[in-house]
Amino acid sequence: MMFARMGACSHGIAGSVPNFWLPDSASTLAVDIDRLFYWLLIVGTVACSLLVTILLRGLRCRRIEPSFHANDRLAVWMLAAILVLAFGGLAAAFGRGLTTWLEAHVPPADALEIQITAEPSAWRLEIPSLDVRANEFVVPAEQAVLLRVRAVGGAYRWSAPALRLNTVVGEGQETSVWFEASKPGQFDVIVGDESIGSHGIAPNRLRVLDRESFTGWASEHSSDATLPPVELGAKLFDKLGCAACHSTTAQQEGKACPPLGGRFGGTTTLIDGQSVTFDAEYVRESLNEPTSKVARGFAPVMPSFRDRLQPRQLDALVAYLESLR
Amino acid sequence: MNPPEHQAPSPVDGSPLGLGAWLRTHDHRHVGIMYLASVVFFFMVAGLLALALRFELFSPAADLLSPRGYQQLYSMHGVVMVFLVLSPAIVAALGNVMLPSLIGAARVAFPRANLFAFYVHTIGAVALTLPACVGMLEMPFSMLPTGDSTPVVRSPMWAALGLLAAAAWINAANLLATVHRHRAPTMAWTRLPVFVWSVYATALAQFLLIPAAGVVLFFAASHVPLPSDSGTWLAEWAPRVGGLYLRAALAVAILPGFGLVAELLRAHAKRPLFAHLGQVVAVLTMAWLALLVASVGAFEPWSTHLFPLASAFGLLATLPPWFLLVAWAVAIHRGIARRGPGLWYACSASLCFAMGTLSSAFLATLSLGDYLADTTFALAHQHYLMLGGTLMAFLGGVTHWWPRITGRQYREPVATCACLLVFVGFHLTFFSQFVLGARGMPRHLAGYADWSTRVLAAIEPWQRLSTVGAVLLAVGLFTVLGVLLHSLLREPAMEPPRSPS
Repeated sequence: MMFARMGACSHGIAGSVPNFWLPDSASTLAVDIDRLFYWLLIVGTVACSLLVTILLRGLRCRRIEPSFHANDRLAVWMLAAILVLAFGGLAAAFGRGLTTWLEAHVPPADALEIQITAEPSAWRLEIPSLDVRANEFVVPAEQAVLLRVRAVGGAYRWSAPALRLNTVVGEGQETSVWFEASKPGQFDVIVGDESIGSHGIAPNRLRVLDRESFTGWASEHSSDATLPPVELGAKLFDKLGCAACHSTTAQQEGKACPPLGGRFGGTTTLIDGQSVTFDAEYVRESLNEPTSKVARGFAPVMPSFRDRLQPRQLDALVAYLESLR
Repeated sequence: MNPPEHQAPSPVDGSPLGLGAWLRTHDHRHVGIMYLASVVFFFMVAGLLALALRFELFSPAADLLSPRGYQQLYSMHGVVMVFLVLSPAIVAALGNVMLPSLIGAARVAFPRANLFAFYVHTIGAVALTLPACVGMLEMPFSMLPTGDSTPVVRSPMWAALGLLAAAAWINAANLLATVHRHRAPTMAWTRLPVFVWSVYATALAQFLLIPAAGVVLFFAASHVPLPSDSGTWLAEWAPRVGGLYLRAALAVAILPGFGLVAELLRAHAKRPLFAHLGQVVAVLTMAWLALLVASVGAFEPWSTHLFPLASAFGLLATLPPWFLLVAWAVAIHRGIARRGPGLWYACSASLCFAMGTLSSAFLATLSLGDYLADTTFALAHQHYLMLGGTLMAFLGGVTHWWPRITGRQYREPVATCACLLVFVGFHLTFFSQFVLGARGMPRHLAGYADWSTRVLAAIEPWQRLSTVGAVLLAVGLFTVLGVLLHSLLREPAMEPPRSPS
């Protein structure tokens, strides 16, 4: 990741060259690959121009040879110089290519794992950690993504040129590649089915969403999306760690925070002596600003869930607590 | 294809030979001319297939051909071009016609085996192309591991390739023995022209590689299962061995092209070639490195640890060609004695070899190569080496030695125009492929209509330019054929042919 940050800092060179050769660079990998490409392009253009210049001079020359032409030592030096330069240029390309390749093969620990399963009839995308299932390619921006592509029933070639991704997956095999998309946008994905040589069933766009939009999309497409509110609330209660501090019965049961069973509809006395109704609004307030209305006898230690919950998830928690009679 | 009616008179009785004499000839020059006719014919066939592919890619939709049809067309184009045109063009055709003269030999080592090899080659050629003509083609041209093994085994393609490989092996053995045993007494190894060395290195590689591939395939084939079985040894090994043979064949097939350019320059330059021994060493190093790179590349699916090694070898392998190219440039720079189509072809082939070798560096660099793999950038790289380099050198060799082979003088201005047409058409066609590949266009894709408008705007104009270039290239190639065949209609030249060597 450190190298990726370094690459991102110096991408001004590649980013400012007009895009004749390469598509817009949309990932941190693209920055490194572009730099390699332009290096080889410059070295190659210089070498070819030298060659053509020497050729044309020889072809056009009709006079008697001046001493330069007959000077074999000069020719040997020229040959040696060009070869040394070529070797140097290629060695630099190899070294840089090697470091980029090594970096590209070791995903960072915080990479979000996305699985793509390719079948002749449909392509599926799954994000295990977020419990997401979808039929389109969506990834978050500025977040390392570990892409695992598995092919069932055929070999596929999957490439996203803007992100400089290009993988081939043999039948029954799985290929992993990690990348970090640098900006939101919509990019083409080219899928080739090696057995019939065409695509059409795979989605051909990759959408890169910024963090907020991605969280929203993930929650829409998670299996939670189809759960009824009470069950979703129960699942969230567990997943978000509420059960560690709050019990779901009327008794505290050895936990540090107010029990939540049977509280809905009743009244609660706060630290400062006020009384509030334990209703939906109180629950929402407690989730967003837990230290504002703390129940008497308890410490203000509850963390805030302000930016972590979608409105639908808030409603689900309210419905769940309401169901705890 | 029938051999032309008017030919250089037989040295025995001065009258043209009949068809029977042609089919029973022991003269290596006649065998070479028959190879030449076969190469020209299949060059046309495979070229027209390629033209059909380019017409399909002119528009984004897959309207002319179905994806399956497109796949079969490019498979046939590739197989015919590599095994029936590229492989025999310089080694078998020009090698048989010219090589013995270049080493001062009166005949080849095994004249009857030479003719036999030609027959095996022709039968193999028919076996390769006939199934496609009658609609029996079933060959996905892919290096990817496929689960289903039976089509690979059952296809007559493998039998045809086996026959062609056998013919190439006999021809290689013949050439090797000729160079070893039938050189003129004063022709020392160090005096052999670079062209002879390049053909020798190619023949040696074929001599060693074909039996090795054959043994592996034989053992694999002996495990051929009943149709109900699946997951056999053959299914796993055949694509790998086939891939190794194909990569090695491609890598070695361009070597004679380099040698031929050196020979054409030697014929036109004022002074002997610069750094002759260095060029010989470079040619031999190229052969060795090419085989190494092909071998490592064929084992790639088994170990990713080999990738850096393959990359290092791939990058190193671009250095000997650069040595040759710069040495040739220096030779030209020292002065040209005579100008002719041979020189123009040699110069354009040099430039194409330079660009092809450079693009090889792009593809061998580690992560950049992954991005460019299987795009049209790789296609352009191959075609710059095979078509722009080797086949243009072949055209140069045929044009340059035509008066010596046939005794007729072609119209030089037309031949020079044809060379220019081929040059311009070639670069229009294949430089566009470099640009397209860098922009992400994959190979083997018939239609690209469902891409976003922005990407289409970047891709489509270059596809159209490439197709226009292909038409121009076809016109140029037909002009070359026309001007050379037209010369056969004229009277034999009374004075010695103009090409001196």
